[in-house]
Amino acid sequence: MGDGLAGTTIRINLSTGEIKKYPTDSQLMRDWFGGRGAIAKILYDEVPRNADPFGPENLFILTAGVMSGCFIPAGAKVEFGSVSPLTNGHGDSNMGGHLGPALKYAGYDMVIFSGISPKPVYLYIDDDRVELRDAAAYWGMGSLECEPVMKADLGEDFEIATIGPAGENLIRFSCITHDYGRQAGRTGQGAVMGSKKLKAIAVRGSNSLKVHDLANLTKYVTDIIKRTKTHPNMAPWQKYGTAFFIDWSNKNAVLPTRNFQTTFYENIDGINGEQLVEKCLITHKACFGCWMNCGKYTKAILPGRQVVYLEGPEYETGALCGSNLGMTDINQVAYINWLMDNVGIDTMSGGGVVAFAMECFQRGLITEKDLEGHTLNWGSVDDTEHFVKMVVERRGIGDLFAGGTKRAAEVISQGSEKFAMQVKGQEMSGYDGRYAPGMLLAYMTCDIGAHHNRAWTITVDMAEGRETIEGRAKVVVYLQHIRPLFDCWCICRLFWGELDIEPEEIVQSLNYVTGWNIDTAEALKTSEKIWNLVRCHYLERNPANGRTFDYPPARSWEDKIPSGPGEGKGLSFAQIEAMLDDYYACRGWDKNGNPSREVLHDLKLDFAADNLEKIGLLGKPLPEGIPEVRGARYKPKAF
Amino acid sequence: MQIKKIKVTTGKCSGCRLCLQICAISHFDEINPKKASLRVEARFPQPGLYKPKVCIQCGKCMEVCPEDAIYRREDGAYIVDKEKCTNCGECIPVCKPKVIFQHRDVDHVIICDNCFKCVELCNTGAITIFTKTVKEKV
Repeated sequence: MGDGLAGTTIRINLSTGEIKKYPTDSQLMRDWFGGRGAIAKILYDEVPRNADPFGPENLFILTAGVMSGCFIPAGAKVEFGSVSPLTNGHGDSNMGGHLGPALKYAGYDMVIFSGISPKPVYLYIDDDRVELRDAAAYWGMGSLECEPVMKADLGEDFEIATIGPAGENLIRFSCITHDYGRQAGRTGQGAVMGSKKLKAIAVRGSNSLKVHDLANLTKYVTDIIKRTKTHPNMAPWQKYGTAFFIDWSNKNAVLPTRNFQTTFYENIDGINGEQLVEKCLITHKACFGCWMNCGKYTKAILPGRQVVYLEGPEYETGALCGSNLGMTDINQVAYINWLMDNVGIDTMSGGGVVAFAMECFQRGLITEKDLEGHTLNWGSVDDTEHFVKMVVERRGIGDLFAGGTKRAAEVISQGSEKFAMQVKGQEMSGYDGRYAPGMLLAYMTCDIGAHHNRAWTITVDMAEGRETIEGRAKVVVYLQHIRPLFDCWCICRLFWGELDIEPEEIVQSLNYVTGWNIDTAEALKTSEKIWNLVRCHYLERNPANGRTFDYPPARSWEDKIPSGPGEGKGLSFAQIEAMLDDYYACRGWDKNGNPSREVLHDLKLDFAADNLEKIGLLGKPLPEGIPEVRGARYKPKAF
Repeated sequence: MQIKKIKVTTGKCSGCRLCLQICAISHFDEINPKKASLRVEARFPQPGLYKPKVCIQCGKCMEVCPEDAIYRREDGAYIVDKEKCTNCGECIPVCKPKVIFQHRDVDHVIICDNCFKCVELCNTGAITIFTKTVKEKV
């Protein structure tokens, strides 16, 4: 009888080359749920508060958690974590594919890197063999180009994750790529790998995983898979993947267009899911153990350019590198997707950075002189490609944008901060929150900078009223607890949201894997504990009242939506302030956005309360005490 | 006489490997795709194709087995007699789809026994069951 864990954790000091294996700390996994939670605790405990994210003291962690590889539907995630060079707080990001399960089958739950290698290396794992190998031959290669070369060298059955030149050059929004197009894109994890001179990770495993109750797990999972085969969402999901929602977002006035200037895109018919399937699709592509196959393996064909092969564009890339850059043809979007994947930048932050620069160009804040004689016009693939190369190679003004929109706007200034569409340094996902107040609050309060993955509320906004803010905070808090659980357990979230699988069913399958025998309430409370620890970590590294970090760019309240179905809609600054007040009250934080001792004590985080108190950032006691349940379960009214 | 086989429809597989997982669970009570008796070949970055590799019931393994450890069941499946099999591996190179495997924890070769659990879970129609009428008695 097992608990889903492979049993061994590896620590690698890249400075010295020392590799040590330890039994996995099963109590850490239990108390912090593995994955994102275990990463949060290790980073909090071990990375000095003044450590440079690119320095030797930062850790780089990958873990496959407790459920990845354990015959769980879509149980294929691998979670990466380090202090983020983009936000200067706890950073984590995950991807599907096959790497997480391979790591577990090789016998390892987690790999923790410290130090900086004196020369480029890659991590080689083949069951018991764990080695740092010379990566000189791969250094400089694009991510998508490197993977097949490494497979040819090592064997087709190795699972490989790489960084591209962007990560090597410490571009702060660099991603990690695997399986020809799966990315851990957010928070600049690829840049941390680059700073450590770690080009790639190659894993092959042949061991068995032991779970608590395999018979019941098998029956349970098999039933879920068979039951959901006929769910009405299954067919469109399999056909289009998340690209299905681009049309939906446009119709519902949330599609970011030309750097979030508006939320309606007139050329949607050129870049939507139908176009993707019709013009680009080669094959559907699934992560390990997932029967939904949302991945779309495609090719982009543009006149005068080589045909390129990629995975995507999925929704986020389609929005942020499509409508947000004013592209009019799906092949353009797919080409930019490939370009960013290959150089190794996150298509979400990458799309955001290019869009921000395009708006700067539109407004004359940067000119052709800054761009080596090139323009940077909406809808131009040539301009985008040239600019991306300037950024990745840190040429001229490109260096300014290598730190993301926030850093670039601080230098460009002249009002550009207003349309640097980020929070805490991380660029927004592919939804405009001006006519979806819960979504805006989700970005504002997301623990790793603006990102939709922690809370996505647009259907809630539609159900509860898009012009009111009442009740949104508690829903955001609930979602910020339930959604990150998937990142802890290293399984995909999408089948829960799309196929009406109840949280209780997922917790039950967790219990079959781990034997923890927990209920959903405990799961949510542990997730809240992780959330609060990450907040404390952020405040300790960026010592100022939390509220000061939680504001969106001024476009969010100064500009009403100028066109489309959301024309004239928008939020006032007073509404944004009120949402923050509500949110902090729901969390048991004070008006300054600092966690109170009461709530930290309730979550058994007294050590973090002590640390906040030392730097004067412990939240004041709330006059009416803390809410008994933070983020009560939300059942949508209309959806 | 009717026998059942796995039919592969090229182009439908999305590479999820649920088939490998359920295969190993069904036969070994373990989660370990390396103990499955089928594989998915991934041809990437070009052309971008997943190709399930399954037993085609050609019987070559039975023909070359020096221990007579492989026999054909009435439903057409070639079954390894685990007591007789010495794990010599002589059947491996003759298997055209390359779906006979050895694993260090298992003392016999791993060959598909037509349980069709893989087919039950496949959600894309890449592997299905087809029934074939054959004249000879198997």
